[in-house]
Amino acid sequence: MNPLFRILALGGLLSWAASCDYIDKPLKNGVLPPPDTTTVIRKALIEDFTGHRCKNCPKASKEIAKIDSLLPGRSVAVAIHAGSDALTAPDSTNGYPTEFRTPEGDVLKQFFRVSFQPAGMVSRLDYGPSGAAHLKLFSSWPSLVSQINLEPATVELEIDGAYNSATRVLSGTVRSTLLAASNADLRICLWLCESDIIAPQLLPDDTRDSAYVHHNVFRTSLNTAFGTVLSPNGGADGQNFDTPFSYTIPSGTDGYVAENCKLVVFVYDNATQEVLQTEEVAVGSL
Amino acid sequence: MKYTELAGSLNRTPRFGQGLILLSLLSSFGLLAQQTPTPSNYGSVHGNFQFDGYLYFKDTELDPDGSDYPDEQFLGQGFANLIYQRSNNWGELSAGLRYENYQNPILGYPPGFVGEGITYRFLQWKRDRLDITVGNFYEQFGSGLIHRSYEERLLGLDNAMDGIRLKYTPIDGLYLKGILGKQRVYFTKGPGIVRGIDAEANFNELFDSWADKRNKLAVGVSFTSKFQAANDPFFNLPENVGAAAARATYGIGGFSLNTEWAYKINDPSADNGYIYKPGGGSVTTVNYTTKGFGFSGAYKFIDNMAFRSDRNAGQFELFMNYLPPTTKFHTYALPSLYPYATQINGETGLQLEFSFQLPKETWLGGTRGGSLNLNYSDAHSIVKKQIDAETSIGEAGTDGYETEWFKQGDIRYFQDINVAYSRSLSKAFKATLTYYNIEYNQGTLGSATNSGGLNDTVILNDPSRADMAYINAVVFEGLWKIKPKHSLRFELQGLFTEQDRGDIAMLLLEYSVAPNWFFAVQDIWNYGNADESRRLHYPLLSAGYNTGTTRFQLNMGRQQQGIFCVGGICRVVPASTSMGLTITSNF
Amino acid sequence: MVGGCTLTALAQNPGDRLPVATVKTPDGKQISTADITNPGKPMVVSMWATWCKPCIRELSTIKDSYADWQSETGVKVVAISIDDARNAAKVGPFTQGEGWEYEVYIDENGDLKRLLNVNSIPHTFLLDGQGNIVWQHNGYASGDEDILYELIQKLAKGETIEVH
Repeated sequence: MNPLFRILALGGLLSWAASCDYIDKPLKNGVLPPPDTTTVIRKALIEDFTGHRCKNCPKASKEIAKIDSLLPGRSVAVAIHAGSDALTAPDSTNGYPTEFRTPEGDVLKQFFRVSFQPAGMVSRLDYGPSGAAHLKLFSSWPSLVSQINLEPATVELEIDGAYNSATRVLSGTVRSTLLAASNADLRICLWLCESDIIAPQLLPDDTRDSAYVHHNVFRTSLNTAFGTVLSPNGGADGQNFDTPFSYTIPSGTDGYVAENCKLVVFVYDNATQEVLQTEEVAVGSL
Repeated sequence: MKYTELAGSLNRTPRFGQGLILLSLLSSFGLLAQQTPTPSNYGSVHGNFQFDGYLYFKDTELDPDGSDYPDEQFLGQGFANLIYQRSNNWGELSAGLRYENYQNPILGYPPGFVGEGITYRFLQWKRDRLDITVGNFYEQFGSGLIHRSYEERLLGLDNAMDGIRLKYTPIDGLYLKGILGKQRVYFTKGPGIVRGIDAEANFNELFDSWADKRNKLAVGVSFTSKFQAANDPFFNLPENVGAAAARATYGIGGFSLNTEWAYKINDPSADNGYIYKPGGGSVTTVNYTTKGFGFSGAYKFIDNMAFRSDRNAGQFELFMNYLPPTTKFHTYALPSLYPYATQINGETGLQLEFSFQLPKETWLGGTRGGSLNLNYSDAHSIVKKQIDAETSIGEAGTDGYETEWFKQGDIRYFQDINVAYSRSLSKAFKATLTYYNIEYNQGTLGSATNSGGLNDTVILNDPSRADMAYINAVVFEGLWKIKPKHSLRFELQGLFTEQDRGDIAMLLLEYSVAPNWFFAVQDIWNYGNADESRRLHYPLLSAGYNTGTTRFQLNMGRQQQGIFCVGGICRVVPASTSMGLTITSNF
Repeated sequence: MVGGCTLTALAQNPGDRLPVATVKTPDGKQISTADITNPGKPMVVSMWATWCKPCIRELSTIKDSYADWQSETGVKVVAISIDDARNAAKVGPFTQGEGWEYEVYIDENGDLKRLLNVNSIPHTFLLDGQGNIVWQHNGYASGDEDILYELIQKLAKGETIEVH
C-alpha cells in the first residue's frame, strides 16, 4: 500500500488526543440580578411532573427553588402531580391521603407520555410525536432556562387582573403582544397553581415527611388543559390579542387558599408545542 | 429467556451485479489497486429479521387497578439486519444496515425507546493492515472501562457510535485504533462528541525474542474524551472531559493475570450529583487452569466512573464505558430475580470461581464423569469521607468526597455463594443440582417490595435501611433422553427467604423433538408472600417450531414482575398476562 | 486474507465464508477469523457463552464423542464465546473445568456475532472443507448433535448437503 497513505493513517490516529478541561472553580458567582425591565425577556416555563409518593421528586422541587432564588424573574414553575398512579395517587393506609391529581394533569401526562418521574419539560423544548426527548432530567433545567432566556422574546404577556376576596372571583384580561411577525397557530393557557400546601411527601431517603411544603401545585386550568386559540395564524409585529378571564376560586375543604395561589399564563405554538412566553402573577398581590 | 431451534439452513449466494457500484466506491476511497476484481466474485447479502408481538390481557389478580395494562392492548416491535460482504484480492468490503420498528414497544422497554427507522448503517473496508469503518460501529477498548459501544437489544440498550473508526496494524503485534463520532440514543444521537485512541502491543508477536517464550505479555493504553457544550448558569462545567486507561495481560503456562486501570477527570453529571471529583477504577483478574480444573478470581474497585456522552442522561442512555459486575450471571428463573447491577458511582467487588471436571469412575463423577462449579461473589460500597467539615458528602459543585483506592466500604450490596454439581445418573439421564445463598441489599439495589436507589449515607446512618434480603435457593434440573430425538427437560426450583416476596417455587417441563419442535409448561408459585393477595400462580405455556431458517415461538401465560439483566445493567419488566409471538429468521 | 486465485474462486461460494473479524484467545492474543480453518475437512463453529445453558449442554454432549468424530472425519469444532468483559476472563477456566478440547475464542464485543447475523445462541455453523458455511442451526435439543454428525460425515465423504 502507498507509504504516504500509511503515514497519513498513523498521523490521523495520533492526532486524536484527549483534550481536557480541568475546572478549578466549580461555582459561578452567586445570584443573577433580576432582568432589566426595559427589554422583554423570554421566560422559561418549567413543568415538573411530580408526585407525593415519588421519592426522588423533592430533588426536582429543590432545583426549582434554586432556579427561583438564583435566577429570579426568569422562569415560571408549575408542579403537575400526574404520571404513574403509584407515585401520584392518594394512599391513605400509608399516610398519603391528599388527592393532588387533576383531570387536566392526567390529560397532559397522556399527551406528553410521562413515563418516569421526576420528569420535566422546559418550555416544552424538543417535543416530538414519539420518544421522550422533551422530558428532561432536573439537573439540566438551569442550563435550559438560561438557554431560553438568551433567545429573543417573540411574545410579550401583560396580566391585568383583580381579585375580589369577598366573592372570591379572580378576573381580568391577559394582553398578548407579538414582538415579531408570525404565522403560527398560537394557543394561550391560563392555569391556577397553589403554593404552601402542607401535606406528606416521600423523601429520597425513603422516609415520609408529614409536614412537607408543596409549592406551585397545578390545581386547574381556566381554559382547558390545552388552552384556547389565541390566533390560528399568528399576526403582525406589534399586534395585540386580549384574553379575558373570570374564575371563582373554590373555598372550603376542597378549595384553595386564594392568597397562596398564582395565575400562570403562557403562549405556545401548537405545531411544535414550544412555549414562546410565560408570565405569572400572585393572587395575593391583586 | 428461551433458546429454541432453527433447523436446516440456506445455502444461497445471490449474485448481484454490484461490481460497477463497488468500483466507483473504491475509486472514491482512492484505493484503486492494480488488478481488476474477478467477475465471479460479486459478494453476498445476508441478514436476519425478528418480530416480537404481545397481546395483553387484563388481569385483576395481578394488577387490580389496571395501571400496567397498555391502552394499545397489542404491542409489537421488530427489526431487520442486512449485510453485504465481499472479499477479493483488493480486500474485504462490507456494508450493512438495520431497520428497527419500535413504535409500539413491548412492556418493560425504556420509555424513550419509541420510534422507527434505519438506526444502523455502515461501510467497512479492510485491506492489508488498515480497517476503515464509516457510519455506525461498535467498539471496545480493553475491558471497556473507558470505552465500550455495544448493543443489548433485549434491554433496549444501544449506544452505537456514528462516525469514523480507523484500525491500523503497522507491524505484527501492534494494534492501533482511533474513533470519532456521536453516540446513538434511542432513535436519535446524543449531543456529545466522542473521540478516542487505543494502542495494544502483543510482545509475543512484536518481538522476536518473545516469539517462542512460554511467557505471554500484552499491554495496552487508551484515551477517550467527550465534548459537550455547557451553559449552566450555576456551574462552570467542563466541556471536554477525558479519561485514560492502561492494561496488561500476562500469562505463563496455566496462570494468567489481566489488569486494567482507568482514570477520568472531573465530570459533573446527573449520575454523580454534579460533583467535580475525578473518577478512577481498576479491574484485575487472576486465572489458573490445568486439565480438568479452572480457577478465576477478580477484584474490582470503581469510584465515580459513570461516563456518558451527555451529562444529563439517565437510565441506559449514552454510556461511553462498561463497568462489568464481578458477580455470576444466573439464568435460572428464580435466582435471577435477585441480580446485581453495577453501582457506577462507586463499588468494590470480589469474585472467586472454581470449576472442576469430575473424572469418570469416581464417586462424585459417576460412570460418565461430571462437573462441579463453586462461586463466591461479593460487592461492597466504597469509603466516602467528607472533604471538610462544612461540605456534606456528594454536595453539588464541590469535590464531593474523598475515598481510598481498593478500600472496601461498610455497606454490603451483594453476596452470592453457589455450588453447582452436574453429572449423569444413567445413560439417558443427566442432572444438575445448584444451591445458592444470596444476601441482597434491597435499599440500594431495589426489589419487588423496595424501590431501592438509596444513598450510601442514608444506610450508614441507619443500617436497617439496607433492608437486606437473605435468600437460599435450590435448583434441580434434569434431562431425560427418552428416545433418539425426543427428550424431556425439567427444572424444579425453590427460593426461600423471609424478606421481599417470600418463598417462591417453580416447576418447568420442556419436551423437545429435535430438530423442529419444543413444548414447555411452567408455573411459578409465590406461595410465601406476606401479602396473601399476592400469593399467585404464574403459569406459562410455550411452544416453538422451526422450519428452514425461520423459527416461530408462541408464549401464553402470566409473567411475574421481573428484573431482566444483561451485563450488570437491569431493567424492570412489569408483571403481565399475555400471549406472545416471536418470529426470527436468518438468511 | 481471503482471495486466492481466480480459478478456485469460481468453484467456491465466496460470500458464504466465515466473515473476517478479530477474536481473542483466552490468553488475550488477537486472531483473525480468516486464520480459523480446517483445510479440506469439515469445521463446526459454535457461538456460545458461559451463561448459556443450552450452549453448554450442546458442547458438553459433543465433548463425549469428539475424539471419535475427529478420528472418523477429521472435523474441528471451534467454540466462539460471545461473553463480554464480565465473563470473558472466565472462559478459559470454564472450558478447562468442563474438559473441552475444542479451539476456544472470545468475540468480546459481538463483532463476529453481528457479521454472522446471529440473533440468539446457541447458533452453530457447519463449514465444508473449502471453508464455506453450508449449514446452520439455532438452538439445541438433545439429538441435534446426531443430526450435526450425520452432516459432518457427509461432508467428510465429499457429498454436498441438501437443505430444505
